[in-house]
Amino acid sequence: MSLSRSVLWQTALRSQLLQGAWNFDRMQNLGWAFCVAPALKELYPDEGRRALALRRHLEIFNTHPYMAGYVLGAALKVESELADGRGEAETVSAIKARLAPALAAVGDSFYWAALRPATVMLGIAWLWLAPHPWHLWAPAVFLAAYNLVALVLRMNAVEAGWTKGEGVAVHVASMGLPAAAEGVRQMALVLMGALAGSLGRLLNPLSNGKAPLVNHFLFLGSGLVMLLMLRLGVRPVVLLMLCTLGCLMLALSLAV
Amino acid sequence: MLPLGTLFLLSAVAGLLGLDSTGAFQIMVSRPLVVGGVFGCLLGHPGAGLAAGSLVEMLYMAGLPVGSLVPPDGVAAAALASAVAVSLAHASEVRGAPYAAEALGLIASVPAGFLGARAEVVQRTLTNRLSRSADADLDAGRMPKVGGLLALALGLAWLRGFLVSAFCLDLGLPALAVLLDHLPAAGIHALHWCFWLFWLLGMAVATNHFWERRGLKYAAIAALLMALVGARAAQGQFGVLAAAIGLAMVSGWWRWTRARRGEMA
Repeated sequence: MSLSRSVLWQTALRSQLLQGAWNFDRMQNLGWAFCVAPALKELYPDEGRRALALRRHLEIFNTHPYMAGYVLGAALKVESELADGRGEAETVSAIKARLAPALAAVGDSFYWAALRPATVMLGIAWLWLAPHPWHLWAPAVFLAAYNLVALVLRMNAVEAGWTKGEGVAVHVASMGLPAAAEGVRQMALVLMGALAGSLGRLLNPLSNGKAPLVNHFLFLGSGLVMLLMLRLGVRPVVLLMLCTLGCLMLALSLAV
Repeated sequence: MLPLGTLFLLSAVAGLLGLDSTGAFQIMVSRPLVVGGVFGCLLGHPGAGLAAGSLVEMLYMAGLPVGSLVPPDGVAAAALASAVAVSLAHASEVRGAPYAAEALGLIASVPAGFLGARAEVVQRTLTNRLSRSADADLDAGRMPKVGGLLALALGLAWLRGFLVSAFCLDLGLPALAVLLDHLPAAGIHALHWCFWLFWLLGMAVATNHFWERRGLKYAAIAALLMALVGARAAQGQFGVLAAAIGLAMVSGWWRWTRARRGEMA
């Protein structure tokens, strides 16, 4: 039995609320059940069989929210075969358990650890370097850059999962997201370097830009010391407190 | 202290934006940079709100919501930081340290972020009951109303964001205003200097997040090039911005194609 295109679209739209009822017991299970509800209604007109299927989909489930569409599509493909009387009920749970962690790892490293912070840095670069009043568009620049990539990939995920079935993992691997994550992370690192180079002169707190060059180096040097401490595992919050204490002691010693 | 209507509006908006962080859509309107801009607009000073929001953003950049880990609540933190930066800007200017309020906002945002994370843990624990109630319905031979349960969970998430922000803004703003008024001159100036050091700290956190030995030399080249270009350009020019983004994109593209070739091989 095949699912109609409108049901696949409903599933894709509903997947935006996958984590709406995230809980420690079974994580995204309620959100997952909400996503598959229209498909189950179409596949199982009989309420008894639908209740059995829904119980399968209320099991524990957790993956990256953007990658869930692929798992949804693939699981619905298996579910449709099951509705036709082919295959075993355990296959649905098995495919979810097999795909979810693998795709979560890809999603975490691409979306959370690379694309999001990199586009945030793009927004911050815009805030710092764009002329007044264009700098106020920084959040819009960040949102546009991030969602241009994320939304397009996300909305196509359910259909790709439905088309490829269990082979969706190969399809995701062929998209080259780990390589893209490497590129995005390098882009962000170089953007950081460019920001540091263009703002070092402007961020001198003691002199309004009139101090000797050595002050600029001292200022940027303190940034390097912070970076070193972060590399050694000191938490940013601890450094925040140390900065505050250091400034307070400096102000007291200078008797400002 | 904020008027009751404004406090309600700000908390309600914070609750709505907070839904985006986990529960709904995740189109990133819950990031501190965006929250700072929205709060700055609502309070009449978008620039100050954005500056505070971007500081919080860089500080929280490394917190990833992986698995069941609940990172500090960026919405509550940015809401308080930007509200402090806008509301207390005049008080810090009068005392000759215009950026003291923004630094104070960032310091205050740390406990607000942790409070928000604790509240989220409680909210997720309460949501366990909704998951169990769906099972109970099936056991009783009824079809559970999954959509209704999800709406209830989203309502709970909104309420959590609303309450945390209302608590932080209602208690935090007056307390910080009193603190700013009564700090000795040295303390005010220390906060003013802190603002600049916090930018550096934010950049250090971001660099640490993206740290990779192979990419460092390109970042250093970009820093040198931009220092040369920046020395000749006035502050805030599209040319400097375009050069920075262009350098970053070329470098990222080059790395991506090499990594892709490696994957293919």
